[in-house]
This record gives sequence, C-alpha cells and structure tokens, in this order.
Amino acid sequence: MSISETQIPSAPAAADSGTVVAAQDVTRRYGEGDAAVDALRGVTIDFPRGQFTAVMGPSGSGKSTLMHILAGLDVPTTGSVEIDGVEITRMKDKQLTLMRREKIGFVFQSFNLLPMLSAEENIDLPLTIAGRNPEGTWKESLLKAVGLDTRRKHKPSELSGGQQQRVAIARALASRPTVIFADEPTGNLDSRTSGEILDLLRRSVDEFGQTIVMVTHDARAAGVADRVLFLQDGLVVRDERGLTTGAIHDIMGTLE
Amino acid sequence: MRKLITRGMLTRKLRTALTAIAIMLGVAMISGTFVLTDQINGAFDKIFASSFRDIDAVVTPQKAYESEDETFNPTLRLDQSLIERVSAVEGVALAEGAFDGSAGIVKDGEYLGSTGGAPSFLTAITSNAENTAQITSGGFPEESGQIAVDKKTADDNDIAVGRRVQVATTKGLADVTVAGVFDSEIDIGGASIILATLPDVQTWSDGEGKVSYIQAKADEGVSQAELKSRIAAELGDGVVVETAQESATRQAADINDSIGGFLTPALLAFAAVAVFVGAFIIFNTFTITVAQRIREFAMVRTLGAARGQVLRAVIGEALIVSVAASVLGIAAGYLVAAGIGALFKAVGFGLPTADASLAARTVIIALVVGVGVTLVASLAPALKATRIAPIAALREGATLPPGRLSRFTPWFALVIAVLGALLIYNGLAGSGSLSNRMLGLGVGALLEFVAAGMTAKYVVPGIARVVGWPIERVSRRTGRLARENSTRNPSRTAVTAAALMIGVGLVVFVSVFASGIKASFFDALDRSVQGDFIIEANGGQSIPGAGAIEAVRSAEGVGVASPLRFADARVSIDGGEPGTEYFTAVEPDTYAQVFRTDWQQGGSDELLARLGEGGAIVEQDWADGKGLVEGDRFTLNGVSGRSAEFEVLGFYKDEQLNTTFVIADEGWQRISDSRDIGLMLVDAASGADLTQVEASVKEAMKQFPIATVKSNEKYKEDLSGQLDQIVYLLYALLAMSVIISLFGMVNTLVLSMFERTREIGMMRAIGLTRWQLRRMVGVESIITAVIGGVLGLAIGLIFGFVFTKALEDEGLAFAVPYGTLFAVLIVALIAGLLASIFPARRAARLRPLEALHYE
Repeated sequence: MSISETQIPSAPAAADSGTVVAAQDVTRRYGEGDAAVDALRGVTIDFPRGQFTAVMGPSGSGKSTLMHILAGLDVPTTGSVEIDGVEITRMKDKQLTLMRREKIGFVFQSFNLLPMLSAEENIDLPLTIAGRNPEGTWKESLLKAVGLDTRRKHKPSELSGGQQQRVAIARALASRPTVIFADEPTGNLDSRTSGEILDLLRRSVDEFGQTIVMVTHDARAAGVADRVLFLQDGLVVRDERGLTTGAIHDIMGTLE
Repeated sequence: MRKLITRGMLTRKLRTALTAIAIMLGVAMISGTFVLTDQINGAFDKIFASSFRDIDAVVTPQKAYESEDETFNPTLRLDQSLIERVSAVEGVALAEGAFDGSAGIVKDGEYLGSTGGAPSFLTAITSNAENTAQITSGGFPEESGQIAVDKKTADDNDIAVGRRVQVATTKGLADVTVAGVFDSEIDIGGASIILATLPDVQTWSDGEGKVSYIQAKADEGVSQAELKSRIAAELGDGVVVETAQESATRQAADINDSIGGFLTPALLAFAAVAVFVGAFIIFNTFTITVAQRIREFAMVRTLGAARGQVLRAVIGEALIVSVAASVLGIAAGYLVAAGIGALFKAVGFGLPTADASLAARTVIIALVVGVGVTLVASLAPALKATRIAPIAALREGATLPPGRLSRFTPWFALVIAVLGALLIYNGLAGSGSLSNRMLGLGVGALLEFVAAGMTAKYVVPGIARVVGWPIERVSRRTGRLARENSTRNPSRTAVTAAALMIGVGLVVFVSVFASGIKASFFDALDRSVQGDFIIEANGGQSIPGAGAIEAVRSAEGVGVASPLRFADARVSIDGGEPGTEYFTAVEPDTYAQVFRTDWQQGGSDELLARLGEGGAIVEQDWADGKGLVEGDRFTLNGVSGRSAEFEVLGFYKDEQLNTTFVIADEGWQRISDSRDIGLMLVDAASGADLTQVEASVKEAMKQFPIATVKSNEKYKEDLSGQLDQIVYLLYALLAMSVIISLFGMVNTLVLSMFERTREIGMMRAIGLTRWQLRRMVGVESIITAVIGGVLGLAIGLIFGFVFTKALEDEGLAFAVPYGTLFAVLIVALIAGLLASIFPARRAARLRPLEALHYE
C-alpha cells in the first residue's frame, strides 16, 4: 500500500482570512485521583491563516500542552481541535501521522536535524517521507530565504546553532504546511542568532503567508508576533495584538 | 560503586538479557559438548562393565599392531580348542567362547539393516548374556536356528516371537525363528543386535572352530589377578590374558579414545566459534553502552570517582552478567547435548548415550571460558570509559575520545592478519604434529576474522551503498534513511556484521571445500572406474568373500566382475620405522578391464599381470614422499602378525582412490586369510542390455542382502548424498553461531533505537508513519546483515581457495558453489529481517511526544 496517497478527507478550502486551527473547550488532565494535574482547563481559541501567534505563560501554565494538542501530538481529555476544518482529536495514529505530514510543520528548541543528512536533505525530509518530489524552484527560494544556498551540502555538525535552526525552519516550510508550530525556537541560541531566527520566522509569515504558532517565554521573541496569547493555570488569560516587547514583559511580570 | 553496577544493569534489563543470551549460547555449546561425550563414554563404560559383570578373566588374540580402522581388516580370532585348555586350568570354574560378528535381518525378502553408519551386531549367547539383555518376551535362543533380537529392531519392524525371518550373513541367508525379544540396558544408538547360539554364529560368520575371545569364571576364593596369571601361564604367547576388569576398562577406553579423540575436539571447535561470535557481541554491546553512558560516567567522576572505579563498574557488570549467563549456559548444555545427539542420529551417526552427571571439568571449563571471554571482550570498552573526562558531564552530546592507539588500528589489523596467515600457512604446509597444525589453522582463521572485523568499518559505507542500492529503488523514502543510519556509526555496524560474517564465512568455506572434494573425487571416479555397476556392502561393512563373486559372475549378461579389497597394514621401508598405510588388493586380470590406471614413468597394464605374489605398483606422490624407486622393496606386516616383502614394479597417479599402493590378491593372501571384499566392480558383457544386467545381478546378489548393487551413476549419487549429509551436519553445528550473531544484531538495533529516540520522535512528528518507521529499521537491519553476509562470502571463498589450492596435490579442485552462495545471501537477508522485528516494534511503539522529550 502506498503511504503517499493521503487518507485525510479534504477540507473545504478556507478563505484567505479563514481559521486554520481551532480549539474548542480543550481540557487536558494528566494522572488520576489525588495526583491528577489539570494542564488545560478549557481553552477555546482560533488561529486565522497567515497570522504569527506567540503563546506565552509561566512554567506550568499549559502553553506546551496546548501546542502539543493543537499539533496532534497529544490528545485532549475533553474538547476538540480542528485543522483546516477537520476534527483531529478522534483520529487514529495513522491518520494523525498523515495529517501532520500534510498540514503541520515543526520547529524544535533543539533543532532535531538528522545528523547523517546534509542541510538540503534535511530540508527535503518531510517530502521524502511523504514520497513527494521536492519542487526545485520552491526549494531554491527556501534555501535563499534561509541563507543556506551555499551550505546546502553541509552536515548539521558542520553548521552553527543558528544555521541548524534555519535548516529546521526551511524543513518546516518545505511542505508548505497549513501551520507551523515552533517550540521555543530560540531557546538554545544566543541573542544575536535569536534575532536572525525570529526575523526569518517573521518573513515566512510576511512573504509566504505562512501561519505560525510559537511557544516561547522570551518577551523579545513574542514581540515579533502579530498576536500574543497569555496562559495561566491552564486558561487563556489574555489575547492581545500589536504589543511591544516592553508591554509583553510587563504582562508576564503580572502573571508570574 | 556496586550500587551503580547493579542499578545500571537493572535499568537496562533488555540489553543485559540480550548480552547474557549471547554468552549463554556459546557456553551451552561447550557444556553440551562435554555432557554429550560424557554421556557417550558413560554408555560404553556401562556396556563393557555389564558384559563382563560375572566374568573374571578374558583371553583375546594377540594383535601385531592396533589397526586404526578395522572395517576392512580381518578380525583376529582364537582357536576353539583353547577353551578346553582354559577350562582345565586350576581355579577356572567355567570357560566359554564368545563370538562377535555382524549380520542383518531379512524379513519377507527385505533387508532391515541400517543403511547409515550404525552397526548390526551378531553375538553368540553366553551364560552371562542376561547381564546386558533382559528378555521382554520369549526367551534366549537355545538351539540352532533360533535368534533373539533387540526390542527396538523388533518393534520398528513388527517382529514378534515365533516369527520366521532370515539372517543375512557372510555366508548368505539363513532361515531362523525369533525365539525372544530383549531390552538392552543402554541406548545403543541405532545399532541392532542379534543373539544366537555359538555354533550358529560361527557358521554364519565363516568362523567354524573359532571364537572372538574366551571368558572364564574363577572358583570361589581365586582372585581375578590370580586367575589371569594361571591362564597366561597355561596358554603362553600368541594370546592376551586380562582380568575382566582390565578388559572392560581397556575396551571402553579404546572406544572412548577414538570417539573422544575426534568428536570432542570437533564439537569444541564449533563451540569455540560460537563463543568467539559471542565475544564480538559482548564487545559491541559494551562499547555502545559505554558511549551512551558518557554523561553518567562523567558525572560520577565529577563527584570524585577514580578512573579505577569507573573501570570496575564496567568490568563488574560484565562479571555479573557472564557468571549468570555461564551458569544458565551450563544447564542449557543438556539441551544442546540432546540436540547434537538427535542431529547425529538424524544423519545416521547415532551413538549410544547413558545418563551422566555433570562433571566438575564441564562446570569449570564452561565458567572459565564464559567469564574469561566476557571479561576480555569488555576490557577495551571499560578502558575507554575510564578516559571520559569529568567535563563531559556538562557537555551536550559529548562523544568518546578516540583511543590513543586507534589511528594504528589498520596496522594492528595487518599484524593480526599476517600472524593468522602464517599460522594457516604452517597448518597447511608446515611441520609439527597434525593436532598442533590443526589448532594453528583454527587460531589462524580466527585471527583473520578478528582482522576482518577490525577493518570492516572501512568498507561498510561502500558495501552499504551497493547493498542499499536495490533496496532504495524499491523503497525510496525509507531505504535512503536506513542506509544512512546503517553507516552513521561504521564501526558499530562493522562489528555487528562481523559477528554474522564468522558463521557465514565458515558455512561458505565448508561449502567450497565440499564442492571441491566432490568435483575432484567424482572426476577421479569418472576417469578410472570403467565398470557399469558397483556392488558395496551396507553400513560400511564388507561383502562376504568367494560366494558373492561366483554369484555375480554367473549372473546373466555379466562380462567382468572384479573384487577390490581395502586393508591396512604396517609398512616398513628399508628397515625404517613402520607406519600404518591403507592399500588396495586387486585381482589383476579383471581389474585391468574395469579400472583405468593412470600410469606413470611408462608403465602399462602389463605391470598388473606381473604383480603376482610379491609385486606392488605404487602411487607416484606416495612413492615420492617415501623416496621409493623401481626395484625398491618394502615389507607389509599384517594384523595377524604375518609379514611379506613386496617389490616396486611401477608407478601410477591416483590421489583419490588408491592412495598408496596396489598389490595382487595373491600378495594379500600372504598376510591375511580374509576373503571379504570392500567393493566389486562389474562390467556388463558387450551388447548386453544394462537394465536387464542390473536386474540379473541384483537377483544373483539377493542371497547377500548385506550388499547393494548400484549403477555407476547411482553410486556417485549416493556418495554425493552422504557427503551432503556431513555438510548439512556441519551447517547445523554452525547454525548456533549464526543464531548468536542474530542476537547481536537485535542488541545493536535496540541500543541504536534507544540512542535515536528523539530523532524518531521528530520524524514521527513530521509525518513518518509507524509502518514506515518499522520498514526503515527493517531495511537498516537487512543492510547490516547483508554486509555480514557479503563479508562472510568473501572470507569464506578466500579460505576455500587457499585450502583447496594447498591441497591441490591431493587432487582437490577449487569450485565455487554458486547455489550455496546465493542461499547464504538470502538467509542473511531473512536473518536481518528477523533481527529487526523486535527493535522495530519497540521503536514504533514510542509515542512521538514522549520520544521528542526523551533525555
């Protein structure tokens, strides 16, 4: 059986400004009885296409759990998540995997590149897994956009941390996913390199119309986003647009 | 520190268990070898002890020398008249003649004798027969024409008391009645036993007036030693008198020596290979886990642990695992012994076994080898662990520092390879005792394997590319990743593959060697044997003398029938140290018509006619080795003590069949009375229909069912089949090594998956399905296995080439067994797939989210 033939039911094409990811009354409880922990206690949130959203909150606020559930890596205890209008919370592992393959890109804090593949091969990885051929022009413009067209043959061990993360971003963009989830993408980088990475994410939204959801605890990182969600104790406590870094810092101060 | 060891092992249960299995299986082979040989020895001890239980002294014929193989040599017998002289000796209560021969049973015209190697005994009944045989129905034979048969033969062939059957003997068929069925105390390993009265056995064995030995009972108050010296004084020279005790011990020891002298070292060689493969796996496992525990070791070093403590932590773990695994292995040895016993039985080499208690020697050797090999194999990784700097605790993704000597690895490998080559060269062409040279050969071969294992990492990426190419065509997405995975740590893949390489290499070597033997042997048969039919006895016995020849000659359509007699004798040349040699005695005029001799130095068939009583023609290589030239003389000393001188008349070349020299029947009769025949070559009269001739010869030989008539083709087919059986036996013994290497592959994969947990999480997150992941692991495993297979093929072919070239003088030809090579690769492929099942399942079960956050 060929895996490349997707089994995801095709969703009605969403309008350019339509919602691409929607969470409805999502709760997540870990453990049982006295030891139970409620990581999310009822989150309802929409993410429109082409928007760069930062998710912030102190440790234990549930921001990572929310991202994992939105990305289909974790399952909510109650509530539902739709991506491109398709309910994903009751999908089987295989359907979920294919859904992630088609619609979701990831950028991780620790880059998570395959050490034995070159930069270019790492970028091709999602397409390789899906059995699709990389589109030459798209890949070229990606390599240029992330500034690695001269280092495409290098292995991750021959690249700096910032360069590795740029490869990871290009990898996430390669399959033109519906949404990219970035988990502390600057967490392992110095401030100058962080700036470059954030700039790259910003440009992905502006130039390619990419939807990005980024979990971060860095106010400066959140400052480049269009919208910032603040979580506390498993609930979205503020949903703001157009905040400055300073304002974000102040809000975080009130939450911790 | 002790806590660090035990906790470490418990948290890595799976890895510890897989390592333990690798050690356990090797140790089980060692312990199984000893258990099996002890069981066989025990059985023979019991057989002889019980047959002499009520006997005090034994008189046997004096042999001129101990023949190495008595199959074709005439058994010496005593004159029956000696019984009365023994009876007359003062203190002898009873003296009886015992007679051992061989005979099979013919039921309704069908011969029931074994066609394999197990013998069919014919034994005269004596007063102490009940010591070895308990009648289960009927009774012991009391008069002529009665026999008793062993229960297994009776049951297998549905023979009951009162049944009329025939006994196939040296003299032809004899009609008898089954008087009884008896149960033997011991498992006689596939042999059949017929008991009959002494006169019957004598007649059937062409031994009227003769006995095999005389057994005597002493009067009350006369000791065995006393009885022995009295009888010896009476009989004088020409016989051997022993106490029953001495005789039982000696005979058991003789058999045990001949079995133990061959079987034990042969089985231990296979056990050594298994242990050796296990050592590769232990080395690899410990190397991988030390690499994975860098931060842990560095952390304890920052807390103040000394290098010695780190070393002891690793070695301590190896010690605990190896002791536990060796103990289990010793116990599992009983299963291995039963398995090997069953294997031998299956190919017709059944041997008797009796329960044997676990000998201290078995426990000690198994423990020493199991623990010793594990400690040696884990030493290098343990030393590596001590070189981890404390600072590594703080570094993400720290790797092991390369050893100070690692850049010399290729040179070390070269030195080891050269050393191995020298040992092999000495084994093949050098001097020294055969057993030392064989040991050298074995050690040399192991050294070559070590050298190959050390350097394999350099060729792994290349082979992986070649092996991976077709897989990547079929499975593009996962194939590429799998290949990259298999080569990202070439030395790990190399050692894993090397473990499989050893088993595969030896299988290929055996196969090359066997096809070389087949090619050269059958070539020699085709060139020289001109007869249309070959008559041989079943089960390595001989064809009864004169009667059979006359019968064949009078069969319709037979042109020529020529008997060949194979024998050994002590040969002394120029009064030099005599050595035992095998030779052939022929009937010159008929021999020339059915056998084409490859004459040397201008010889011709005329020389055969001149052989007479004192002539010999000599194989060229043998003659060269002994420095014999035309006109030289040498002396043959027969086992009977008679000797005769022969003159070298000419030379021939025949390294396969008539390896030393050929004499005429008249010459043979100067040193032996035996008329038994090894083989009969039969040629149809010209113009006769071969099918009809075969039928008439078979009809004529019906009264000698111990012999089988075969066409020339059938004869070769059967020989080839027998050789194949031995080859399969060797494959089966090598299978253990392959199985052990399989565990090594599983272990390496599991550990690698462990290392790559986060990677797996990432790939699953970006859309790798479980099935794709499993397939990726499967392909990686197949690539590793096929690398092992390819390396094994290469090294097996090289070994095969070197050995056959070295034995070219013996007529051995190098032939590549393509079918086997192909089969070996397929087996490697399947092995790879099998080894991946478990690790792939484990990897696929990982939840992406947890895997991503795995530290």
